[in-house]
Amino acid sequence: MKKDTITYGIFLLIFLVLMPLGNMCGLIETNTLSLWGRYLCFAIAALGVDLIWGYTGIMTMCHAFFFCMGAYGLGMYLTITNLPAGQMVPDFMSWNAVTSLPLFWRPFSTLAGAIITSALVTVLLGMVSYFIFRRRIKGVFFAIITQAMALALFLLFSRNETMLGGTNGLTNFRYLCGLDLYDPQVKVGIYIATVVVLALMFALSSAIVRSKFGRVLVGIRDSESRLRFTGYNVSHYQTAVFVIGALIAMVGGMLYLPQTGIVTPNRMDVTASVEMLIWVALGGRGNLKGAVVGALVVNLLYNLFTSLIPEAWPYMLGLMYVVTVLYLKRGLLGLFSDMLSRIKKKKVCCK
Amino acid sequence: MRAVLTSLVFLMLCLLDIVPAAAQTSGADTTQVAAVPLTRAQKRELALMNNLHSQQADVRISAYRTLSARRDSATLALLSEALVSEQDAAAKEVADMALQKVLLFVGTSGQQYDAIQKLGELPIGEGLPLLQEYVGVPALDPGCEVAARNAIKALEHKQKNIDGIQNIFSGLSLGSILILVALGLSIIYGLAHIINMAHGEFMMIGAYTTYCMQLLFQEFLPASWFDAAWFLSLPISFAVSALFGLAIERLVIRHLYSRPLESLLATWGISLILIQLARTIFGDLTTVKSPLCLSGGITFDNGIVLPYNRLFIMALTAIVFLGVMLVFQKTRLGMKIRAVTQNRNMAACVGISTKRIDMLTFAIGSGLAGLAGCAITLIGNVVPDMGQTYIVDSFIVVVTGGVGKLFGCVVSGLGIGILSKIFESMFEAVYGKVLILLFVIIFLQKRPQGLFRDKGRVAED
Repeated sequence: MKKDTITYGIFLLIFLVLMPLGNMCGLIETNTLSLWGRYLCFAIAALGVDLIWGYTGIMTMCHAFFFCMGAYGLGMYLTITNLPAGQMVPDFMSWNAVTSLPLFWRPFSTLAGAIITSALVTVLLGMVSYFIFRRRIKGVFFAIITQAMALALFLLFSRNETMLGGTNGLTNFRYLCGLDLYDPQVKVGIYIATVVVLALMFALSSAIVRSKFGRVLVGIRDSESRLRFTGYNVSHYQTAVFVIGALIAMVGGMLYLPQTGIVTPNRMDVTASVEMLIWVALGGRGNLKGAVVGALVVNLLYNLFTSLIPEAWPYMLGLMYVVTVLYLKRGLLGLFSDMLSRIKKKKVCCK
Repeated sequence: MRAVLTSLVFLMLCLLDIVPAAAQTSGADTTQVAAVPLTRAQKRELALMNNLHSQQADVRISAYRTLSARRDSATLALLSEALVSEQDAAAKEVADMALQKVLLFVGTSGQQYDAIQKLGELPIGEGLPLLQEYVGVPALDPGCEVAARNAIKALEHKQKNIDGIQNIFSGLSLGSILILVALGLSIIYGLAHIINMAHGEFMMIGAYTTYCMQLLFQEFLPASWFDAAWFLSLPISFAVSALFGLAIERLVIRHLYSRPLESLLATWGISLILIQLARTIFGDLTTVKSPLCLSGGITFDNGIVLPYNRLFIMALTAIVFLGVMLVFQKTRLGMKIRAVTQNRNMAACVGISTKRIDMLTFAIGSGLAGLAGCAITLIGNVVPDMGQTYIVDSFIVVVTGGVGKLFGCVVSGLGIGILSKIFESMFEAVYGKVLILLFVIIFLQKRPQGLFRDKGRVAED
């Protein structure tokens, strides 16, 4: 426990103190900081995946959708508030000869409305999974159905007539509640907010994991039917954790949007969802720290490869899947602790 | 003499509308015959008259077709005159129809009425737009208008029926492709409980094998052999995909038989690598030329067209399915595969080498995907990520059909194929997909184990 506190301390020290300080001294560019901010948003989403997959053993292949749900929710709010004076609807709507804002855009005209509505939609869509869990569809089948769901939603969001910006997504906003998103200070502010939210979400997730509820989740992962025989209503627990994970991802998405300034349906396709799985798998499943580390490592590698040798990235990513599954069952953190304990053992031997 | 000859040639060229107008005016200065420069429209008219009195029936037919689009009494006279002297039966029919089409707009109301009746019997694509245009004409004879509206209604009804049949046909065709893809998936899933995310990429390998075969044939063999390349690629793409499958099974999958969820991730990684490999080697887009004997289709009188390539894919699916059934039911290998599928431990106890069976089954499943890939080159492009198009749908087919049930695969494949085409015809393609998914989720509420399931209950973990 004490060791964990030190780890968290170091993490917060680096991301909450050193990085902004470096930015102030001019060592770290604001854009780099924003980039890290985005990766930290992914790390928030990865926490949700870890709860669902790492702790409960449900492989979800539509998690990127929930991430985008947050981004789209905030994006709709920003689109409405950033309309040039006198313009009633965003450009992509007026191209489709729509003159007034569609009804489902209305709730997004205030910030609170946008947050509440996105959360509601996320919860409702997450609850759809109840109908799948109820019939004890699990494992690979669940993964396939969520994958098909992700594809269907991706297609819906890519259409022009669904009034969500089509394949171009939502973009062109500058002011969030009067704050200029291009302003370096605002960028740093959002970055710091992201780190704080990540820390909060982490605390929340670890509280969940440590609670009785979390124990039941691990029970479901290890032996679903035994838990059912003991009298637990497994599908309720599964739905609950699925919704919680979705909400966490949604929060990540909301913080992601102001830092990229654009959200497109490509962020929510099947590939993106499966990529979230590799973050968690690489970092270490059933280990919240692993989820954060995995998300950061994979995205850093992505950044590195796409700027140096873009063609090699798919090979690298593919290899990462294979190697992680074959050799890193407990992820990088597992590898790390194995190495630590081996070193300790050696020390004991020498003595 | 020479000048006359050149001017004659020039005139002929003018008639055929080959010489551009600029060249024609400059030419007019040097010749005596074509002293007055002809406008383009006049030239076209001359050519048309020439064709109308041509010796060849098909030239005359095309002239009639051109005339049928006009709406003036001069054309009417021209056509009636031509109809009298027309000898060829087919050409006569076309001339008559052309006459009716013109009469519809310029004839007396009695002639219009007759024309409406006759046009109502034409193929829909020809008759319907004309009649719709006719109804739009102001100040029509009331009787004619009613008749025209009735004819339109009848034609639209007919169109609906034809669309229905076309939809079911394309549904069957989509379904048979899905079956072909899902068959391999289903076999592998039934045996080892592994969903192979790279299955679509084995399909892609099959398609690229076909492409390579065509290149090889083009390079080294006479052109007349070209059709053979495609048919020869069927077994070869099976073999190549099966070999790839075998290699991947040995390298990766065999470590994962007890961890189905993780195998999903590993195979996803493999699929990424394979897609990028194809992109590196072949670039972004290539097409395979369909064999000539599979181009075209059966055309029915009422306008329904059934393309040969789609019919061929259906037949191929049927043959492959029967073949797989035969192997499974009648051969020793099939018996062993079934034994391992039903009870792995028991099968091992009676001396079946389950690892060998796993390996062979994986190879067969991948080979079937390769076969599907080869078949799909008939109807689509070959692109590195072509596997992704069909893979999600075929997963759904496997889930709906029931675990490892070959027959379930066929029923759900056809069902989903036809349903999605029907939904697509009613809504947009995208909404069709969403609806299919909703349908499957509701269906699984009723039968969580798919259409066909094992009798009795199997204890889990």
